[in-house]
Amino acid sequence: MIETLEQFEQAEEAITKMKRFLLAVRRTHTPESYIALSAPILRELQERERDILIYLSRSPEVVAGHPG
Amino acid sequence: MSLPALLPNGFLPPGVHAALLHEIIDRFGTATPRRQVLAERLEALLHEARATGKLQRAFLWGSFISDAPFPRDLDMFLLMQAGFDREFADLPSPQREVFAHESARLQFEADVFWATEAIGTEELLAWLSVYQLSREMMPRGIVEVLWHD
Repeated sequence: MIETLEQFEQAEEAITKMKRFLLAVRRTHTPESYIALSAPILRELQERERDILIYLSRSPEVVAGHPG
Repeated sequence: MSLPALLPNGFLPPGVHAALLHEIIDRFGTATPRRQVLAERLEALLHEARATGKLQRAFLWGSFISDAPFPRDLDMFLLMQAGFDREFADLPSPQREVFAHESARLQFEADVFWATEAIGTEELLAWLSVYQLSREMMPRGIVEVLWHD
């Protein structure tokens, strides 16, 4: 779970790298293999983006454990 | 070669640690029945991947190479020779299952990610850096599997 701004930035960086990786695969692999090998990566990306949205959906006070 | 001690968070220190397959199994594949099962799955999966004749490098991360008593599954990245993407669909069944994500989950209890070396070193290193931080934001190491040959 993302708890801090630093972790948020690390998670964002990881997602950027995964997207770049997918673009590289898309450029260098056959369409058939791209479909096969991108599916789990896309699912992982979706989960990681959800983690980020959960972090962004909470106010800093809630994240720090002081709701209200 | 020997794998470093685990960190207090239960993972290997960040970095890519190279180890022979039997060293990995001695270290992480014997302590509990669950670990023994996953070690068998790992050996079987890598046997099939190597049988393609195209496996260049194999990397492991996640709960199997941690102190978790009941690792959920295996997490792997297989780097294949350039051109393998044009051949994998024609592989015989036991080998093909390794590269079809859902089949690999069912047959080997493994999340297998793969690509060919056509992606280049920079993208490989970027991938490996992503998995040195767990989704729970824990720093952790990756193991590269080596063989004697």
